[in-house]
Amino acid sequence: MRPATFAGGVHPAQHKDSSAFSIERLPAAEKVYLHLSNSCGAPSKAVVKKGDAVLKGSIIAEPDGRISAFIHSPVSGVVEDIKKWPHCSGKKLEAVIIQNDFKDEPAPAGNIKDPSLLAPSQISEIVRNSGIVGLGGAAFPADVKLSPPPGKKVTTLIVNACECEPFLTADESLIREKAADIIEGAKIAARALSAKQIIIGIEDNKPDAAQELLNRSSERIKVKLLKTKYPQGGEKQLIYAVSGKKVPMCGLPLDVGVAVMNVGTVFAVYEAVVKGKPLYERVVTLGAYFRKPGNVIIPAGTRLEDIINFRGGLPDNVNKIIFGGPMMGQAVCDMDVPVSKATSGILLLWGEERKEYECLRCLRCASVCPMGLMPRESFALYKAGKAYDKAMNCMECGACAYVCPSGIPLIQYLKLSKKNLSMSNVRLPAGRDLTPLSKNGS
Amino acid sequence: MIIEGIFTAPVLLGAAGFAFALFLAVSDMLLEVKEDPKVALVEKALPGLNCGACGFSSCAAYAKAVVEGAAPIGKCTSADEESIKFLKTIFSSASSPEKKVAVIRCAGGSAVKFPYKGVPTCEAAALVTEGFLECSWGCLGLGDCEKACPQGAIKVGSKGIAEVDHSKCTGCGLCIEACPRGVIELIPAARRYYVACLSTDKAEVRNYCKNGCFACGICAAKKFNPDGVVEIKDNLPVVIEDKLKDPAQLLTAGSKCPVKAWKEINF
Amino acid sequence: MKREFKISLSPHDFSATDVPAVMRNVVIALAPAMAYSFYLWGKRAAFLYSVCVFFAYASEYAFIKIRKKTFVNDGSALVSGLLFAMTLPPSLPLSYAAYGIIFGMVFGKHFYGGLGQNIFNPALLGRAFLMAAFPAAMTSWISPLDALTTATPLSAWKFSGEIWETGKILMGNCPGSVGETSAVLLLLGGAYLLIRKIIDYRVPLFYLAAVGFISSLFYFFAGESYGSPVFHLFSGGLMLGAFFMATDPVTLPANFRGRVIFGAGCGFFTMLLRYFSGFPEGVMFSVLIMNALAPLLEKIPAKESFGENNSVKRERNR
Repeated sequence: MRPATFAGGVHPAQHKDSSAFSIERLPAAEKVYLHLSNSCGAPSKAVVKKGDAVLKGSIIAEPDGRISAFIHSPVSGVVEDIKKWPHCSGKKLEAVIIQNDFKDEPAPAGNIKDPSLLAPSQISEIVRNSGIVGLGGAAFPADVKLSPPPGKKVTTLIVNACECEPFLTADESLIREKAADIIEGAKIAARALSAKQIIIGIEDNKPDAAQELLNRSSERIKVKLLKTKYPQGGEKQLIYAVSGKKVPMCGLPLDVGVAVMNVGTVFAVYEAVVKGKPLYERVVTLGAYFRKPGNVIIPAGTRLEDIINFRGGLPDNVNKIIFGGPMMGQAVCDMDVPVSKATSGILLLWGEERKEYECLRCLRCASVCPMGLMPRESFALYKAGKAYDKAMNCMECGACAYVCPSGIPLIQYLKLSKKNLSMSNVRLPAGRDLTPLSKNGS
Repeated sequence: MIIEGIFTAPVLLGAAGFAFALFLAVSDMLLEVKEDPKVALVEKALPGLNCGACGFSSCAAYAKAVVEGAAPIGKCTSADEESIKFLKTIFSSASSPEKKVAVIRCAGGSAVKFPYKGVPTCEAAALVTEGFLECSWGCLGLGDCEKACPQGAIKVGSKGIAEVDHSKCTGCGLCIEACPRGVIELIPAARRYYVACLSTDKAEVRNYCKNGCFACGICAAKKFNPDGVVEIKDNLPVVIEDKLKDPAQLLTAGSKCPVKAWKEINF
Repeated sequence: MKREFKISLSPHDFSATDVPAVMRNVVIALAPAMAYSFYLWGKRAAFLYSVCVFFAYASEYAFIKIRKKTFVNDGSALVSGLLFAMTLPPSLPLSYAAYGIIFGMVFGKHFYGGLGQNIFNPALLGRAFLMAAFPAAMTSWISPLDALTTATPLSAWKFSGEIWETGKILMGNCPGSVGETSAVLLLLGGAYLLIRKIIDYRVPLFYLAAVGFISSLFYFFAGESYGSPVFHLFSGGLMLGAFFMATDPVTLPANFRGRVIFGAGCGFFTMLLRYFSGFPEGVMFSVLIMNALAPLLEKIPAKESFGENNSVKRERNR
């Protein structure tokens, strides 16, 4: 029997209250701030200058290298400046600042062809030109995923509809309202990959959304209900739960003939190919203590402060702002940070300080680790001046730190191990002799 | 019976012990590994810090390489004058390396972005949104360099940033490797003056740091810098080593700095 | 509107089970057996519990102050004190109990650096100390309710070949240490801990399995005088040891496979001591022996992580 889930994992409180809201649209702000490093990989190159007029959907930056993406303007207006601006990572990075003229003049769309007549390479070209990146969080350019290297064959496209992070409901609301488009987008993506089968994996805590998909499932497009458990939406966990295949350590889904795409990404593919609309806005969950929570379409580059003001202002009982979900999201402290294509949610939280105790060696961390690691070792070895050799297999899902009764920042220790393993001049020796990973690097 | 035992036991054990001692002595003579006596001499002259600045894993390994001619003498940055002299008596041709010292290119004073809680090392703090300071160049002051320094020359001082005792610094460079912010630099000790700031921001520096260089350009102005030893590059003063003849040139250039970013090495 | 916001690495949500909660759950699990011990031994039990808990806290507080650290009440001293008291003969003078717990806390815990660093279970080390220092007081037993001098079921079996009725042993209405007698109530507490996932199921499972297996072997092949498996499973301190002593995570190997061996080893040594040593009971020493072996068991290679085997294959194929 195939497993409907994976080993390990945790059950944080769901808090998916915002799933009750249908998708609405946030008005465009006066200015948008588009960071050039908007996808994983190399930052894009700006193709506009200060003072240039741009239209809604026109290209303002082009990719610099293979793993990089086009950036489109979500508004029409004038490029005010290109300068360093706070990014959600905490760094200040180059950003194109566009003054909105509120005319909403769209850029002329290219001629749209029937997707069933397009060749796979043409589809991935459209996807590339539309600036589509993975909307699950990593912002990996989608066209790279859609054009596997020669010799690698993708037989199955898995659409990730798990949304296992607490609070987030953006994908759920999108499925509920746009299930047909998502299925269509998945077909287009599968066509680009020449994949025979499409499997949509969805957690069983979203019955409405799952029903929408099930109503449209067929022999070729299957919907698989999965156990509600964090991190069910982790790429390797999802593949294992859906197909029983284990992606090798440091390997890619390609190695087991699978490609995984988020529902949001698949929807963006549909919009790009069928409607000729580039990716410049996305559904974002505004959750927790927002005065007006909801699932809202937000133009990329809208400043956090504008979003909060549009949604009723900042409540007093908030001391933590998170971009993403509570398990893997980024805490931000600067109200000037804009949302990017990868921002799946914004949460206003009241975060209590986690008290730290001595490690009990209880191994709760190891028993919940979806990757079968010993997170405790990264902590124990770091104190001994070493790096945990298997840390490269960690995807920083946060399950270990979530359950740790001693409140040890295990993700930080794992990141340190990773950093020290990946450095070319390895400063810390690996903790063990068996280190296939540290040799591979990654 | 008992009396007999008292005698036989020591005699037997003594005999056995003697036999083993003999065996060890003989095998020591037979199996001895001949080592160049020079290696021991060189090793004695080296400071024995095993800091690795020479590129070898230990002082012993470097000493061996020196004797075998695989490495020059001058590689050790920590050796003092006397030992260099001593080494020169063993090997005729040896040049002493240019003395370098580590300097912290931050004077502290940046505003704090958020109170940091987590693993108390600079390396770990640098992972959390690029450090907890408003300044993305500044010294975090959690003492990774202090731990790395084999000489005990670096201390995180009262200002919350690392401070180098240059009289102890041998310029091995281990602190540079340890610093995740790249805020430590090795400069020739003869230069004496350096800029304690790395921020490439211009006027914005003033928003978050009272000690930061905001590239006013006074130190590079013709009036204080007639020989052009200081240039502003990337909003920071850079010393042009080729034109530098006397550290006093830098003193005059830096003396007018409005934020006193120019600091002197403390011997 | 300049407001301060907290920044930390993910995750930003935590489970409610922190260290004090773990300790609280252990105390809850001990509660039924403790309540029963009040019924059996009356005031004696109450005095022993209070003395042990008081001196556990006092020695912990004193030692932490000597080391100039801040005292954090994580509840581990409470658990150690209670567990220690439960292993003592009810007739033990209170001063001895105080010596024992002070020794256990100072030598067994704080000399190693406090919670999380100790090799041995502090409560058991304290008891072992008392065993060596006051052997007579530690091996004289009284019967419950009437407090007459008598023998425990295990010593009756060992020294005079009598076997107690199973029912009495199960319920715990028999002589023995303060809190160890009622196997049923301790099992109840153990089940609670297992359901709440406070303890690792491997240790009690393999401990009890090993005891059951070895005692069955002897019972069925070597003769009934060795005592039935049921008798061995439910008499003495086995339930207390298996669910509350051996499962102390700090003294376990931080390795799942090691924990299986740890449990089985405890069972092996317990039966070895029960059959062939001069003592009728072997739980304390067997757990301490396995505690000492825990660092060694930690060296067993851990289970391979997700997809690790595949990657090795891939490398070979290249």
